[in-house]
Amino acid sequence: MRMCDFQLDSSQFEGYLERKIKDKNAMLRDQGFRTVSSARTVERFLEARKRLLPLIRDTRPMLWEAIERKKSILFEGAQGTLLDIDHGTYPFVTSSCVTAGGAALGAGIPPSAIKRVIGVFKAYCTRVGNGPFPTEQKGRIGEKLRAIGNEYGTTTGRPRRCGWFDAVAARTSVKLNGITEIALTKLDVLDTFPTIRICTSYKIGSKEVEYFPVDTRLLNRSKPQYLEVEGWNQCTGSNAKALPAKARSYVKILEQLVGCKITMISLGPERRATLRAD
Amino acid sequence: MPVSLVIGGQWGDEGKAKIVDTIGRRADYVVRFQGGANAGHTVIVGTEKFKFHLVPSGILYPHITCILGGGMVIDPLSLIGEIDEIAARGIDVDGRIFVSGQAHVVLPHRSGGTE
Repeated sequence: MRMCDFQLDSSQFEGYLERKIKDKNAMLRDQGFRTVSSARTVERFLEARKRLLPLIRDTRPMLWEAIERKKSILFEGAQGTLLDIDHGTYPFVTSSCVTAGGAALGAGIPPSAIKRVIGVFKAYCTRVGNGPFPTEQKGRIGEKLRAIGNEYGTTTGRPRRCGWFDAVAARTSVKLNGITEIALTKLDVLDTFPTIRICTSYKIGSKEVEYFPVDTRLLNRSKPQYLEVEGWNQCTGSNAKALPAKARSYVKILEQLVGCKITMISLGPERRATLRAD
Repeated sequence: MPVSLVIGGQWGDEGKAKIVDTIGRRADYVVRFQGGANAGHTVIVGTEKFKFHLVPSGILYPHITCILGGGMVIDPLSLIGEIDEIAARGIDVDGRIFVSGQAHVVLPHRSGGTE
């Protein structure tokens, strides 16, 4: 069922929705799940239809015209590259195309229209739910990252798994998405770590790997190879242009390992704390 | 600003909404193209915390048109709830939110059931 179905007249919509619910209820019953009240859902959806009808349209021509008129358009991705249904850590993925290509695919604009791709990376790594996470730190370090970074899900409140920055994964993201610049977030979470590790490659058996392998089994066997750097052990403050020397050097190392420039550094959650790096 | 895209480079929760909020103030349109209510975007303005699931976070700037594009998966009841919540906090949403007819609809079975 799609949003354009709400544009049917109300009796057609009702009939269509009833048929859909009947089909789904048959499936639910087959699988031993609770069924859904058709009357209640129809009533709520008819109410929703009244509210949403004025908002529904073919948004593609709006975007095509905006592109032609050189308007500023910003596409906002959700989830992350490594959860992409095709390129993520299958089968531990989301059900949509998260990568840059997905913007063209989903919104219906030509891929050639997108000129600037900003990849957002945390200065370390987190993951919610199951699936491979080579640089995960299960002990004290992971707990410290979680506590300082307040790493609990926005939607579900689930604690996030935490670990060191993974340049193998990041490098793969940069290539996949054609990332033209990086925004590095939550650098300040690392302020109190005496030493900080960065994963530079994986060892799988005797092989050294620089890109994220496609086979999840291989990922599970990957041994991250780390570069250890000294922490800056001081508050990064709220000014990305005046970072401590060691924090600046951490940023430089990430740029080199990942192969893309970091143009924004964000410190702290407040709006004013996002600053452009020099 | 040329046509731009903000994308999560890792496993999500990278702080995309904050970056969108920072560079998005110069945008005319902010567009979502995948995902649904399972996405959670947080923007903090002063002492106020805004959580977005479906509506693009560009809604915080009055000049921006927000598009929920094809590729998205939308629970209509959650969407109305989110729009109402944004409006209740004094943000004018009229004529600023458009939903693609191509976006998929989540029936209540998928979002917890109604019985």
